[in-house]
Amino acid sequence: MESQFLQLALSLDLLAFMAVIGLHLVKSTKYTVRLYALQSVAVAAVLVILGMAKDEQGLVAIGMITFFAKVIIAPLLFSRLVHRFGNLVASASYLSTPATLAVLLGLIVFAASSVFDPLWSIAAVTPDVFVFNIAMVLIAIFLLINRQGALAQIIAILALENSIVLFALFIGVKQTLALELGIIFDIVIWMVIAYAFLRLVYRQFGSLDTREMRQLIED
Amino acid sequence: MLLTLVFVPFLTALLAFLLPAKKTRFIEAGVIMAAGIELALAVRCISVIAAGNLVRGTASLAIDSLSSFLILLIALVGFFVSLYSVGYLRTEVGKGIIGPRRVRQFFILLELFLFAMYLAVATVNPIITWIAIEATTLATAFLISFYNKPTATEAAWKYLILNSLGLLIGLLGTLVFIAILGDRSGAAIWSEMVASAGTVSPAAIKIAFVFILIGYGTKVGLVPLHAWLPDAHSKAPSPISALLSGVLLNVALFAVLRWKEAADVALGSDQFTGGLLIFFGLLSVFLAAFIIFVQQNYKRLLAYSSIEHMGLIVIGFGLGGVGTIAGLLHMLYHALAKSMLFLLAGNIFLRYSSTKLKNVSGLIEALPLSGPLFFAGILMLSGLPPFAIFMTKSLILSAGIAFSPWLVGALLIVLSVMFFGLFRFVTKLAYGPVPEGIEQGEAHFLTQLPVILLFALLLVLSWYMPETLDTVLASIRETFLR
Repeated sequence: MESQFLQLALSLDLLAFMAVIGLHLVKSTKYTVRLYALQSVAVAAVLVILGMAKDEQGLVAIGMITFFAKVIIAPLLFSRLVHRFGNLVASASYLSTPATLAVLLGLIVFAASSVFDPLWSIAAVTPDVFVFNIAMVLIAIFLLINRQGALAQIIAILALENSIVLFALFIGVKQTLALELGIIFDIVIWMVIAYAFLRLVYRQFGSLDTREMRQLIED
Repeated sequence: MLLTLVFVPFLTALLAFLLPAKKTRFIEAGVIMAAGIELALAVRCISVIAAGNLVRGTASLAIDSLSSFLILLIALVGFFVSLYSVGYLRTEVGKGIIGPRRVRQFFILLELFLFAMYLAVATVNPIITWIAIEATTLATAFLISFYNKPTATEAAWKYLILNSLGLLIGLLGTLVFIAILGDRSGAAIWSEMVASAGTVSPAAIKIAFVFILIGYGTKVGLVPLHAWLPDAHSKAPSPISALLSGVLLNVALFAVLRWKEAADVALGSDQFTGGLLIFFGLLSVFLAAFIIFVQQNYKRLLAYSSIEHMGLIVIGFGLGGVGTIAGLLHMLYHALAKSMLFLLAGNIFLRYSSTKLKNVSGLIEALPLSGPLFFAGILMLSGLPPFAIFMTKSLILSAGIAFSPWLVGALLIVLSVMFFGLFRFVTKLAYGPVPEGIEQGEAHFLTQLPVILLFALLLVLSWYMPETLDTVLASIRETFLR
């Protein structure tokens, strides 16, 4: 029974990985928000499944709170923003799609390289799953670097946080319920502040394209 | 005692939130009273620690020598900044720049910022430290963009994004460390992890430490992870810049040092962690020294000087031995001197309404107290004798000779370049004619008192180190020698 749960969790991990890859490929902000929601669904489901498999009610509760915060609240906030500012919410990348794909491939190869071999000993899963999770973290960091839009950068940070949560789950690190709640509380506050900043940026720069932020250089 | 110390700022923020914005005087009184209580408790904590006793609040709150030292730094700078903020904001309200609502908002965020910093250093749990350091980012983002100008918003945006990225990498490192060292149940605490560090894979520890250094190093402002620092420190209101430069950078360094301690025990030597710290420290000192020459803004200049000094501090810790003591002392003197300089920069801004170097001259004439103190503060910061920073810089350099005499030679040249750069700009600011339309004289009394007290404290500490503090510093050194 437990191995079936684990198989399901691993499939969801793969889904989250595909969602992060997808975040690099989509150009529309609407789909960027949806892919983030999809990755968050996978994270919440993994939390619930692992909680059920190990009979840990705390983990199940965290999964549900994660679902509420990241799958309902965050996409709702960001969709409102997209709806309000429309096409002005830039989602373009610095690199072209082929170049982006080449970098993604490089990151996956790097994640599978011997550099991270010493960490395999701490993984509670097989090495290939571990490689997926390391690669997901690296790809999320690259998403932040490669995106020009402020909203896309916010989503990249949140996707990175999701990737780290999955990484932690698969290396078997657990935290007490209070600490998990602390981390989620931090992230929720972060989302609200980021949302407020997006509105502030739009009001002052007339765009959510970070390339428009050139006041400091001119200053 | 510890619980009170940590939660007083939180309760003050709550009080300010509940009071109507027009009750500014009550809020100000609450903030000053809270700062006084925190300082008194911090002094009490360090005395208890120096006497060889433990200070414990709850299961998650307990402090040792290093934490008590950091708490003292936060309380000291926090006290002067709180006092100064009252005078600074009253002047801004008087000029019609901000209203009572913004004043209340400022104090709420300031108290939350202090609360997060106290929590970060007072907890025994590395995850709570991470949560608290992340919370400092959240509390300060709106303080940096306080003036609602596009430049301030841009600086705050950079700060939010880069620090969040850095801290997430720091979280990754923390989780890897916990997986390697601690029990994975979530009850991991610093001391237990150090104790269990002797039996693990060195290669895995190295990877984890690199994540930690990149992650928290971003918040420390180490080059090349520093891009946010000059913008955020120069665009924030001056009291906040004082806290950011004087304390927050040290709080982030605290997390690096905690993990360094565990990593050194696991690796059996401090060669790896020390080497990395020396490398990033040198990079920071070198970049900051040369970039100072092209700066057009005196607050940015101070911000780059913070990068240089944080570089020197991490070099000290990287070298170990005498370098550790020098690093700790440098932390203390830099925190006080830089806070004083940023508060003085606030006084300059209140008088000249500009942070651009080209718009400021004749400081000594225009600001009879702040002008000379700013001049003296810059000399102090540059490491001119007989001020204490001269001694700590010399100690770091002498500790470095055993590591590499050539490197010390190069560092000496760079520090001289830095001194020349700072001296050139401060003479330009201090002398020359006062621009037309600039009135002479200081602003509010409360913008003068804290800088006078800070200067006096720096002078006293340059020549006399209280026994309690001396004992605590020696104890921290022992920890890192273990």
